[in-house]
Amino acid sequence: MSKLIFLIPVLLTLIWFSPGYLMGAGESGLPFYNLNWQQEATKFAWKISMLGNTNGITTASFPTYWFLSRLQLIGIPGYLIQAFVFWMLFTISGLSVYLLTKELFPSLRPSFTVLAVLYYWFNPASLVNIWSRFLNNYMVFYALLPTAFFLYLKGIKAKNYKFALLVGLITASFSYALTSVPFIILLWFAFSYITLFYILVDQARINRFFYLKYFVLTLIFFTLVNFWWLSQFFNFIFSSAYVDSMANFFSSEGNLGTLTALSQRLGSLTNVSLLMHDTYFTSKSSWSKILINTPVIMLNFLVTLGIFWVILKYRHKKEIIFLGFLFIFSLLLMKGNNPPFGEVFQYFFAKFLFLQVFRNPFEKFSFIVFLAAAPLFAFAIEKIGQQLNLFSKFVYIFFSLWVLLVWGYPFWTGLVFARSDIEADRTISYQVSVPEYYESINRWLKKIQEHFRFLVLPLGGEGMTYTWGKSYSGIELSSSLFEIPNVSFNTSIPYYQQLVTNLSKYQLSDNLLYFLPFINSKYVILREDIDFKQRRVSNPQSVQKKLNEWVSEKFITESFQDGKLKVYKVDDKLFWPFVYVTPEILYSNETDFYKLIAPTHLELPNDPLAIINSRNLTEQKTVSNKLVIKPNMVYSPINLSGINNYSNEDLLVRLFHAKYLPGDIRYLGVRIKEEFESPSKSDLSAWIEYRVAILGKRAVEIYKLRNNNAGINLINDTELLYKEQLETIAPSFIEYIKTYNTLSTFTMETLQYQLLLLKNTGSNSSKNLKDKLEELNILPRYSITGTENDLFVVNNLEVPKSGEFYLNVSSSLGNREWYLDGKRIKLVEKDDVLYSDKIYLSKGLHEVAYTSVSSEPSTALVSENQLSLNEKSGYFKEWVLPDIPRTYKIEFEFKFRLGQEFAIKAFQDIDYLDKPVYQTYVAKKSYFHDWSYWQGQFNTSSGATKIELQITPLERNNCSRVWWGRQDCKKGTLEYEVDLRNVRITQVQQPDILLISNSELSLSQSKTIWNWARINPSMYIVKISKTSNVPEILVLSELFNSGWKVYKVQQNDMWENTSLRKDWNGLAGEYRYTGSTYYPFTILNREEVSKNDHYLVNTYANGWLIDKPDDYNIILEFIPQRMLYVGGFISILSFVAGSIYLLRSIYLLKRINK
Amino acid sequence: MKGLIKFVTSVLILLSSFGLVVLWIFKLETYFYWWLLIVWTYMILNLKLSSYHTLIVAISVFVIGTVLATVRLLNIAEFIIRTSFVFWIMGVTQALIELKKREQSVKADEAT
Repeated sequence: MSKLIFLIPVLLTLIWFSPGYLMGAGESGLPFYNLNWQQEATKFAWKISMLGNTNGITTASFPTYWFLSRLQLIGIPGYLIQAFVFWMLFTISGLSVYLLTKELFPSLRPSFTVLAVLYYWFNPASLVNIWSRFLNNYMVFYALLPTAFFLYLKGIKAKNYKFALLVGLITASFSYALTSVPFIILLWFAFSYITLFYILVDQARINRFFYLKYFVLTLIFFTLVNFWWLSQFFNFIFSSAYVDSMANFFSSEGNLGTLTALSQRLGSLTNVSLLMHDTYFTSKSSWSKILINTPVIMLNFLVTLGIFWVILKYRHKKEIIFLGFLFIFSLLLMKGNNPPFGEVFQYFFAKFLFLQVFRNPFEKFSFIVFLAAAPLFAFAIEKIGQQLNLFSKFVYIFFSLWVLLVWGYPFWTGLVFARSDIEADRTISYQVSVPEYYESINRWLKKIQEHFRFLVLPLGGEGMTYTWGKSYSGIELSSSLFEIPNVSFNTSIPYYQQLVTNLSKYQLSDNLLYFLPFINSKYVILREDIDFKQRRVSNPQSVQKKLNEWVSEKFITESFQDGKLKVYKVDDKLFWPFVYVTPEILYSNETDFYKLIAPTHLELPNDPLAIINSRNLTEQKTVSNKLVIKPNMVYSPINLSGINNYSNEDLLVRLFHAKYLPGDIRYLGVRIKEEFESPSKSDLSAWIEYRVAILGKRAVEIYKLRNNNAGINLINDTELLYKEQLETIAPSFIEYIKTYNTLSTFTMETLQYQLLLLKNTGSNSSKNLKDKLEELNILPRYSITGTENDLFVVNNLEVPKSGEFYLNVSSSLGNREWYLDGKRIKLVEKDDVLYSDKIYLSKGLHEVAYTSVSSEPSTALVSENQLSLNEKSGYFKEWVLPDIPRTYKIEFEFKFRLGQEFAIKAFQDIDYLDKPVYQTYVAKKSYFHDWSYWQGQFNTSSGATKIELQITPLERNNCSRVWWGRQDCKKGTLEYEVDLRNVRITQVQQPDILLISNSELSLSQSKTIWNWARINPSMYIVKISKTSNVPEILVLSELFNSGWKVYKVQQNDMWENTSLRKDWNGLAGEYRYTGSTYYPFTILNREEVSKNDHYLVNTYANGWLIDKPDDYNIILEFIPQRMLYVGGFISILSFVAGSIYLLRSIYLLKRINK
Repeated sequence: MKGLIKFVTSVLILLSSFGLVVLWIFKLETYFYWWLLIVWTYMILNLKLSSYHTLIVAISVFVIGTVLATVRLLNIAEFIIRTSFVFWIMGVTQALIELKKREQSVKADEAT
């Protein structure tokens, strides 16, 4: 029977890989396509792909890629290596589950023990969370967990320290799995559970001490053998990249929101107890149709019931409680913060940041659940069989076939590796065939003996769908397909995301050219083999048109073409090297190169610039007088003038009623009730609204206490309480605004009412509230005199250094009133740009405000006075879009004659089937049936050229369920008749406001000569001959990271001047690096230069100030690489020593046995 | 004394049941499970209920939940299954404590 553990994986891999294709999907991409490139990319602490980035914990995958790349280098095709890996993972996981079950239940017959293996392989959670999800590290962890669990347990039971070494060696061998932090936590959660269980149950003190020592020894050896990637992980934690990631992409409130949403979606205990992933099983994929019907669900419940029964019946057995407790506890963790006891999960989740990696607890804790359940299932089937006596064989055969064939159905048919395209009613396999022209282009690019990047167009988000013979849909692949760094997609990497977001909106615009020098793009590649509608990116034909224009204007030239890829070379004037030295420095916080450079009349930059982030500018230290500031916050403040005339009674009816005031004995009850009724913070929106309303109640209490002439202490206490509650809510405002840009109207209005009420009362709290609202940009700092109908847009400008400036407003907004720090100013229009006079501004925050006129004179794109629509005659209006994404506002008045609702959709020419860029519905008001006003706003996508607005009937699913549980749904439309009037579609104007210092940027060419070479991804060597005192910036165009350091070294023998190397415009030096790849590592005589002058330049890169004339031999080094060398040495040494010790022990044991 | 404890227990259960109805009306389901945990713990301690009692309740309630789930009464089924999990986690914890006590007594027997 146990032969099945080897045989079934062989059969499965034969079924999956016999057609000879690689498989790829999801976030793992297609690593088996070019394994050697993968090992190169993970070999160093720094990787050069995209704009460069730290490898961090991904260095853990290096040994696996190194080993597999050796196989590829001897000529084994990628798909065979992938098949081998899959076979190996299945076999190892099966074997370890078999041994684990045998270890726990030695008396279990082998045929039943195999059932545990089948359960582990084919259960519904592993089907979805591991195999269908198709993440390589998940698959490896799926094999590592039972192996490490078995070995650790074996060591505990045998009281043998050698197993601690073995566990360490296994984790290092499977280090690929540990590239994901949750898996490290899960692994140690499992070890901790085993240790604690045995400490709790075992009564012998000496044994308890052993368990503790065993745990510590495992931890120490684990740390040693995995030191190379652990060092990188901890380096990352303490780096600027981590701080930036946390600041930009991490929010506890956001994570809590995700946890809550996923817990509600996936954490129903009905589904969790069936190990059923709600989204996948209800997605109507080809296999879910079979597994979701009532009879199958009933029998699946029987499987869980069997496990529960065995826990009840055999609860006196240590092994049953050991697994049973783990099983039930993990099931409770798997459901997230859902009841019961979800509050405990939520408490730890919110309290310990590292636990926030468990935002999807269903996915992560399922590993522990089916590990615990598998042996219990096998044991249960044997015992149920014994109970039923006569039917024992039937029970065994039935459940074996159930698991093998029904649960295994998606595996045997290969459907587990397929995604469903519901709209097109088809199933698309994960099998991928990469066209040969990718290899050809890659070879061609590699032949160019230079360091450069290229830009891939059309450019989209993280995902991409390729229309190859065997298509691919998953994470964008250009970084795997090409061995040259490129910018081909946008993703959430600090600085990179900001730059690519700005760049990608200009895909059909000349403005894109401003970005090419900064990202060192020597080539632009046009790809025509993508499903642009699926991913809502530019149509390659539209991009081609723009590229043809650039060819005719000589910005680019056609260089190479193969298959559906075209390579264009960027003109030399637009190409800057990776490393350069420049005296042309300006300070700015603007991250859009076009918006920054065009208004300062620099046009396309011929000379390399260094744009230092203006946060580095101080009054004391300046290397340039040129400063360009964009608003760091734009907001529409609450307008108090509209309610200034409200009486206190008007305000009181708009705030929560306070019946019992502080001092009343019932007041405590009121406060308890408030806490009791508070929504959970996981629903941030509801929580903020509730808390603001309660804050309003406090304001009412202050008002009433003051009016009743209550004691001063009571009033002071209530004011203090108000202040405390305000301080508690305020940080959540920031989180909320970060996500949703603005607070809800209810919140804004409630704050507005209480501010006025407190002001009228003469309460100190009004100042507290006003200060807080100003700090949060809800109120302007400088009062603007306007009428009650005036709405303002306020721009906050942080001036880092006092000086003379002028305002530059790029788009004409018609007749508006402009204010600077509350004082009216005049702007003069010249060539569609508005300018102010010179203004002296001191260091600090300044406000530029303008009136936001709601009805601009005749700027509507579409204007219809009267429309009568019904389900047969809808409204369709198409218009051409500008080459840069815009915001449009649609507004009308409506009156229903029949029906309740209708739909409004906006389809762009790059939108997929039934996925319009904008979709909403208008519903009849239940309380008002006359003319009502409606407005909506939407943004167009980058790359869209046309859009059609449609007013159509609303579609609804009419669903019915057949007797055996299957649900059938058909789409239908809802009848309606509606009259519309004053229909207007307008483009929302958002001006680009810049504050520009009144000093010119010197455009003198640098006399400094430099040359550079890349030693390896984590090290550059630069030779600089600087003759003047002019401050200059040495720029390294790799993603900014505090780990990059500059060292001056004494050696001169690294360079020879025999070969002329023209990197850029002939300004680079005439030397060529001749040292070895690792040579600079041996240099000990180094001195750090510009220690405190490491700047964020060009919005993403590293820059250092070089101001003294000298001949510099400089090393730019990514310091964590040193830790990687040391860590690698420690890991190899520990691994070899551990292996030798264990082999020697086995040898000695054999000798003794002989 | 025992009678007093039983009386107090009964009164508490009665009051709590009333509280439960209130919680149910106000859709505060989440508090119900905590209430159940407290009340059942109290009952375990006072009525000397073993893990068997808790687990038998757990499996019975779970069976009811599964029957309701298979006939697609999903909301009520979810509530029942959640309730059964309160008993499951308490039951296995009790079984673990009982196991520890058994091991202790075995060790004590060995010592004597």
